[in-house]
Parts: sequence; structure tokens; C-alpha cells
Amino acid sequence: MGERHPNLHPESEVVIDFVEHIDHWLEYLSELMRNADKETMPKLKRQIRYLLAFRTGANYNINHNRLLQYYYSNLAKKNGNDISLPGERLNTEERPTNKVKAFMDEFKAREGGTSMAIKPLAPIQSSYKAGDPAFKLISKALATEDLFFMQGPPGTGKTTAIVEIILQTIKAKPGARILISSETHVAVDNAFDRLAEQGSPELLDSMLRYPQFSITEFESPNTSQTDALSRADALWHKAHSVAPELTMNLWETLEQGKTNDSGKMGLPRWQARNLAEMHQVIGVTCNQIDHLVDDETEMFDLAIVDECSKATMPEWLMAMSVAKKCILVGDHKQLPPTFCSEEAEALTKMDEHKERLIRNGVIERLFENLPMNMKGTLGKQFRMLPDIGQFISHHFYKGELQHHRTTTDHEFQDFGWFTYKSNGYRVPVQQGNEKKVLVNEFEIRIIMARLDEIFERLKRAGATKKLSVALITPYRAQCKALRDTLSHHDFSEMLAVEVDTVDAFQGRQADIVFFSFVRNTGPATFYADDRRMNVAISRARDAVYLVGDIEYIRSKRLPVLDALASLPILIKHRKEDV
Amino acid sequence: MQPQIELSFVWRRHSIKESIIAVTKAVGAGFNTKEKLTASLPQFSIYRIALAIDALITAGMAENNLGVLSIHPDMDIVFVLAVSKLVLPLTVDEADVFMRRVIINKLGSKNPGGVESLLHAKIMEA
Repeated sequence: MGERHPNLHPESEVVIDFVEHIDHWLEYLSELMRNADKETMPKLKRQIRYLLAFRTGANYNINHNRLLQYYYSNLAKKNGNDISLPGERLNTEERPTNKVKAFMDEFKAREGGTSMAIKPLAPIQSSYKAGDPAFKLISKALATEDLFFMQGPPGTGKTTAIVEIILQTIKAKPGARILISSETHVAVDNAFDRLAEQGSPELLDSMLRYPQFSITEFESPNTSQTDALSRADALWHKAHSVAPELTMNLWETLEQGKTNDSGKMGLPRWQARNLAEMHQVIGVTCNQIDHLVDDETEMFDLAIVDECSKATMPEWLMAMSVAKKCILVGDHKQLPPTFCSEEAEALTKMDEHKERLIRNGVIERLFENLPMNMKGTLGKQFRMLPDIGQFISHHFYKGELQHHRTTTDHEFQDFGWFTYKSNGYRVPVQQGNEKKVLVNEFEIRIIMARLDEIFERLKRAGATKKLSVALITPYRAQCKALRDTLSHHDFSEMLAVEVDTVDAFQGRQADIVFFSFVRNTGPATFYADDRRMNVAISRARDAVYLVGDIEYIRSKRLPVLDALASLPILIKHRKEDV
Repeated sequence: MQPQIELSFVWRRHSIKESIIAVTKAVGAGFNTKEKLTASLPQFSIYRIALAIDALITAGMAENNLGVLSIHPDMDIVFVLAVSKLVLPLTVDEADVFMRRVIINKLGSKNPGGVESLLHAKIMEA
């Protein structure tokens, strides 16, 4: 792919094109395969297969390869105008109209009626009005032919936008096959649930969530019927009512799904593929798309990848590979993919610049490089109260994020500190290369005391609605300690309390957030990543309580931490207080 | 020592083998028109039922007579071969396509070419 540049540049100037980056991934996945267990191996093989297919242009829409190669690389190359694929000679000398637009126009002329560019007349969901910036952005996404990247900062209504895109696509193209995908089951579940709520009964009948929902509480009472296991069960019963003997014979002859640990029977692949073909809108995680695809499968007209910045490149490429048009929805200002310890170890064996690229993903660079007609940002957030919203907007979105909510119906609307003086209480106690125990008992006691107080005040005020509370911390050990302590308290009458790490909490929200910093000595590597602080704070709707040693945070001299340290101190605890 | 091979068969089109089995059994049970087939096999997409019928007709294992399907009795042999292993006193070279046709023929098939267009032979030294 074009000229290979020798690796003589300083790290920041290493010139990489998209295909080279695919090769980095192949190198990394091959390294992972050396020590992979039986469960992980199929996933790795599958990712390698899809990467190789994409690299060789065996994916569904070759324009995706052109666009990614061009818009990923053109800033990387000094003369980055060549969008040829390997083996093609489409450079300036032989083809004067070598711009992306010319290729796309040629493609549109050839494809004619199968174009996926849609011009919606009016919003379908009542939450939008025709002139809304959000609806204009949705219209822009619908108007693209091959690829669109929608950035959705926290609370900006990504799921609502996804639902509108699907409803508009089906209205304009009633036979369109649509894939809703994400790196996590929860993101797929949420989008599917909202679609089930907004869609017609006919649309509900054409939806399939494979293999099953991970969430148990739904916005729509009809959502759960779209689960693939329920769908398959209903079809076998229907078959039995028409042809009982034949159905029993087939049930015994054909491969059936394996029973999982919880005693529930899974679906065999052949059944999953048949089901996928019978339905129009399919919800599945990126890594399970392959369960629904074989040599005979009819591909998708549109793939929507939610939380794409949390997905690794092979994951979102899998969804893109099986669809004609792809809409990436995510936010590169929030956390990138997470890597488990085995994965992190394999990464350390790679060159530093490759490791950095794989860890951070290519989403941000793609977004920056794409032309304006292929990208956009949802600009109004509906989650956070103004104080919190303005902080997030100013520090992470260049002040461009507007806020919608201004009031709430309870008294807890603070954004400030429950701090303390360490006075020799060091976390972690261990130093140097010793294994660190990142549990801060003092912060746990502060949080429990404040939860007690919130509980009592709500009870005194006769609150009728439970408030949701998220206890968020960067460290798993603290998370576990918080959960253990919480199990000895019962706040359930007034509060629904969840405990999780920042990384795991992305995509969720709560009325009140407690953020436990844990560390009060040593390096602050975790906090140094602005994206982590963005996610931690932007989970809150009404109040954020920062629990930590403010002097330690201030001493780090990092812009976002400095800004946090300038927030009001609500209580300065002494050990004897709690 | 006498040479020995293990001859087994796998479905050529793995992706539609379940549909081929289902269509064969459904037609055999009297669900032999488009309407009856689709009503009796709702677990299968119409697309895969059509692919299965196409594969069966191409192999000469199904016949369409004015919209009514019939299945060749050789499909029973296909089903048995797909789950069997034959140990034969042959070398790998001897088990060529002509010899395989003779073997399938001797098993009772009138359409050994059709059998091998649905199944792929795998030969290993025993």
C-alpha cells in the first residue's frame, strides 16, 4: 500500500497507513494466540480472519476500504492523495480525478437504485423537531452512502439518534437489513429496547436480539420477545403444530444448542443463521456477528456500531465488513478499549508506537480526518445539571457541549469534595516494585457515612422516588472493598446503589456519583488520562462527590485534576469524624 | 500387509446441510409443495429452503413436477454415508472417483454422481 517509510522518525512522527495498522493487529493477535486458552482461541482466529478479509478487500463494500485507507492515511502521508488499493493504479498520473468524491460519484452512478443515501422529510420520534441540530446531524448521517461517524458525548442521546436512524432507514427502504452492534451486550440491549419501544408492532416482529438479552429490566414490555431463544422456541412450537412427527424427527436429527452453566439451552449456529435471515433488524455484539454469517448469508444494508471508541479495531471492522453502509457511533473523548492482563502482556512485546496505536485505537484519528459530510457531533447533553455539564464541556469538548436540564427534584445537586488530610495514612502502603494494594478504607468510611446521611435526609423529606447512586473508583480492589462494605448496609428503601470501576461504568448513568480516588501517594497514572475523568464525572445526572486527598490531587499538576481541585470542599474529614 | 483406507463423507455445502436434511424429510413426509414446505419448516428461512431445493435438484436427488417435489430414494444412502466410515482394502490412489462411484453404486445407489455432488469424500490411510 503505497510507499513504505523507514522507521527513522521520532516516535510521534512514525508514518503508518491503515493497512499497516491492520498488520500491527495481526502481529498482536498472533502473539496472543501463542498462549490463548480453548475459550479465547476461536475469538482470536475469528478476528484474524476478518482482518485478513478486510485487508484483501473480501468485505462487503470495498468503498469502506478506500475511505478508511484514504482518510486514515492522508494526513500521515505527505502527499496523501492516492486512494488506490493494492494492485490498483489510480494515482495522479494515470487518473486525474483521483479524489474520493470522484470515486464515490462513480460508485453511485453504477449502483443506482441500491444507494443507501436517504433524505428524511421529518423526524419520526416525537423527541425531535425538524430544525433540531440533532435531527440535522441524523439527516446528514442518513444522507451518506458508505460511512458516517457520529460522535456522541455523554448524555447527548446516542441511543435516541440510533433509533431515529433505523426508523428513517426502514421508512425509506422497507426491505433494508439492519445490524445494531457494539462491543458490549448492554449497549446492544439498550438500543434494541428503545427501538422496541418506539417501533411499530410490525417492526417488533422483524427484530432479533442474538443470542439473548443481558439486561433484565426493559423500557418496553415487548422487548424480551425479540430474544433469539424465544424466537426459535416459538418457531419450533409452530412447526410442531403443523407437522408434529416431522418436527420431532428433525429435533432429534439436527444439531441442537448446548446447555450453558445456568441450564439454559443455547442456539446452534444453523438455527441462528436461519433466524437472522428471517428478521430485518438484528442486534448482536461485534464478536458474535460471525455466528450469524456464513457463505450463503445475505449481508446487511446498514450496520450501526454503538460505543465504537470502546471497541477494538477488529471488533468494529467485523460489523463494517458485513454491511453496505456503516455508521460508527461513539466518543473518542471517553475511554478506549480495555485490555486484560494477558493482552497487555502481549502488547508489551510490540514496538512502542504499535502498542500505543492498538491501545488508543484509530477512532480519534479517523474522526479528525473524515470530511465534514461524513462526521458530526451531537451537541446538546440531556443528562447533567449545568455545573457538571459545563465542567465536562469546558475540559473535554472545547466548551461546545450545550446542556438541557437546569433543575432536579431533590436537594442533592453538589459538585465538590469530601476530602481529608492523609496524616500518614498512605495508599498504597507498598513502594517501588512491591505489589500495590489499592484499597482506601478511609474513603470507604467517608462514602458510607455520606450515604447514611443522604438516606436519612431523603427519608425525612418523605421522598417517593429512589435515587440512583454510583460508587465509582479506578481500581478493582477498591471496588470489591466497597461492595463488601455496602453489603452490610441497607439503603434500598431510598437509594439504588451500584459499585463499579470507571471503565466498567461507561455507558451508564446515576443521579449521584461518588468518585473514590483511592491513591493519596505515588504516581497518578490512572487519573492522568483525561478520558477516564471525563467518563467518571459525566456519569452523574445531579451530583458528583469527589472523595480523595485534595492536596495529593493538586500536587499532580495536571490540567483536569487542577480544575477539579478548585471545586468547593463540602466537608474536610478528620479520621475521628467517620 | 494388505493396504487399508478409511473412506468417509462430509457435506459439501456445510452451510445448508440442515436445510437439505429438513427439506428431504419434509417432502418424504408429504409436505411436497412450496406452501406445505414453508408451513412445516418455519424454523428455516425461505432463502435456505430454496437453496436446499436447488442443491437437491442439481444433484438429481429431487424432482419438481408442476410444483410438486419428490425426493430420490438415494437420499437415504446420502444420510447414512454422511455419518459413516468405510474401511476398505484399497490404497489411497485406488480410491479414485471411478472406484468411489462403484462403491456407492454397490451400496444401492442409482445416482452415485448425485451422492458425490452433495457429499465430499475424505480418504485416509487406516
